[in-house]
Amino acid sequence: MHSPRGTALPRRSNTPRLWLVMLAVILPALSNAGCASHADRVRLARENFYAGDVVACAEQLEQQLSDFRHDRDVLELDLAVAQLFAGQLQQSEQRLREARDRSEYLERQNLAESALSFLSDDNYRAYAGEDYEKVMLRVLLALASLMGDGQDAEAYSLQITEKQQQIIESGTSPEGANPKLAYQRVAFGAYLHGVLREATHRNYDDVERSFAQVVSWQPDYVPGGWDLIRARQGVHSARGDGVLYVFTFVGRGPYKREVSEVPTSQAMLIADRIISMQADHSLPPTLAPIKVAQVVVSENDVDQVHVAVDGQPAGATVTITDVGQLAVRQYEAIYPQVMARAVARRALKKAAVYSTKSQLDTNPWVGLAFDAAGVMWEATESADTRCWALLPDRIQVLRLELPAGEHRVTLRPARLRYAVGPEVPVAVPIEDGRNTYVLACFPGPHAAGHVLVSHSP
Amino acid sequence: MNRIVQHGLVFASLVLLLLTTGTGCRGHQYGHVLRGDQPDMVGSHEAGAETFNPLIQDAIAQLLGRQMQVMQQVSTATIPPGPQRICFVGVENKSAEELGDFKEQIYQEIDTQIVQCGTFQPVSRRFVEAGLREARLRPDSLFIPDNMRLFTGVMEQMGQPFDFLLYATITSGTTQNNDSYQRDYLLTMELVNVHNGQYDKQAAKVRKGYHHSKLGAFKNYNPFTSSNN
Repeated sequence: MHSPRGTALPRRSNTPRLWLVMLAVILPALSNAGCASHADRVRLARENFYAGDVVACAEQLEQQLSDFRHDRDVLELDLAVAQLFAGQLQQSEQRLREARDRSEYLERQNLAESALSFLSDDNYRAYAGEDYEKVMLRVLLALASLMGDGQDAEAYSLQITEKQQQIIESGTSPEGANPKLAYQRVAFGAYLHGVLREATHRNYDDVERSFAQVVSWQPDYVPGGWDLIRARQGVHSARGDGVLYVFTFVGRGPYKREVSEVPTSQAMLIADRIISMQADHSLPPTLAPIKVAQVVVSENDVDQVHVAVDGQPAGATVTITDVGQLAVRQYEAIYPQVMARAVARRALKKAAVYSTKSQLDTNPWVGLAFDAAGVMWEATESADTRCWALLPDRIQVLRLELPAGEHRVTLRPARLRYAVGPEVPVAVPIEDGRNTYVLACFPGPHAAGHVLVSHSP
Repeated sequence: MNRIVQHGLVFASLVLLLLTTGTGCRGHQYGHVLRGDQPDMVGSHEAGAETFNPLIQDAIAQLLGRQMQVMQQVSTATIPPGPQRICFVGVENKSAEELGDFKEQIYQEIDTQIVQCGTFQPVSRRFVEAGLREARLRPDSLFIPDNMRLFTGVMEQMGQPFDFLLYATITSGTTQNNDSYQRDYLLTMELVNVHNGQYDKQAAKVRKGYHHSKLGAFKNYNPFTSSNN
């Protein structure tokens, strides 16, 4: 049974324009074919960072910023991390602040951009960042400020929690479903807020609230329970003592890789063959697999950092935020939406080819050429693998109460309690009744860049 | 198939329209400055300026006003000349909501009101924090006599003696009615004379209703009905 053939539209007169439309659609997509992915482009910079050469990493990223304008928003984030551990605190904070504001701007919908991404792929969308990256952006801002003048660290710590709330609330669909309710909450903001409020010696109620949130959101952070008890009953430190917080970035963070959704592609191939048999014209067959990005956790050589003070073991850092797990779980929650976009893109491309064929002569050779063009169009799609590559796998912390004065603190990366890298020494001044902060990055057995010590407030 | 054709055409038209006219771009964010007589924005989920500003003004004005009357009645021989010094220890949040960045704002508002009244003079917050740090005392432990003596001594050593200890607490009470709820916010100011232990207290309350729809306010606070379920 054949459906009636539509002949109402004038054909010949529209042909040149339709060809132009097809070319305008397909040529930009084809121009992207064979290009290196974002992951390929940042590979060298990442390797330099992991090898500890943050200066070379920063130089490469700055070069790429000028060469790859479309990746600029995500490259800025990596550059800010490299600058932070290169000791360029003000530049890093400034860059992160601009990235945060730009991300807020890019979060708003741009219909033209969305439409263009349906003609090509998600790489044509400006990169506002994954939800976990938006939260981590504020975490990095808080730490950059903390290690600098510390003026805005408390404000940023509040923004971490606020942003999470905003992200979750924005996830509600018109039908009332909200996959983002499954998001794991990042306890770092609440923790830092508690730490900063405790140092005022005046706001123990805030401290108690903050640490209660930490215990609730990150129950496996065991020291959180001790912090909460201290907030309820104790004081910041004994007279004559100060407090040292050692923050560490441990391991290589999550990244995105391209995967082919084979079952969905096969299902779509069967579906378009069924439709092609029933319809007036054939649809381009789904020969090119549907590609989507997948967030994966890196294999890591380091899972904690041993801290010694004046030659004596003082403890090991404990995870306050598991960035890798956070990223994977968040992406899992929105993965159906990612897949839906990819499938909708394919359907729209097929519909565009079909509608063009229906308005042209139905010469089998022309139809075949259109199908071939459609297949090529679909094959040029690539998954959006842009991501903040230099995030750590985990953010860890160790709190130590120490007598006021100068101390020699050494940090040593470890895995399963065994040291895996050399010691990194740093001189740390402790002030009576005040906090001092140390921040170090161990993506592997060697520290990346400098170990940062906060200036006294 | 006609539907697919139609959708394809509509989609292609939409793309061309957007690309050619440039519509659908991201909007910018704007701000404006409120005039002095313009009302505060009312927080839809939590208390904000509309709640805390009147709470502070009511509570502190009544408390200090009453104290000024007391001081005028008492013989000038028993009160040293000059403004009485108040050590404002801080604001304690015991409510169901986060105060976020409002906490410091409330502290500064109260501190400013004390300065502006003229009869009292607050001790700088930086000295208060330094005193608490030096004595390693929690603000809520200052009402224990030994702790208060220790703290007073530390402040005197820093050249910041004071006559009164001021403490503010924010509490809340929530009443639920299906999707709507009412939250009563109470700011309590406690003033203790460190010389004789006399104690004064003043509270101010603001009640707020929260609803999921605009009709919720009418439904729960309908002036023509005396009670609601």
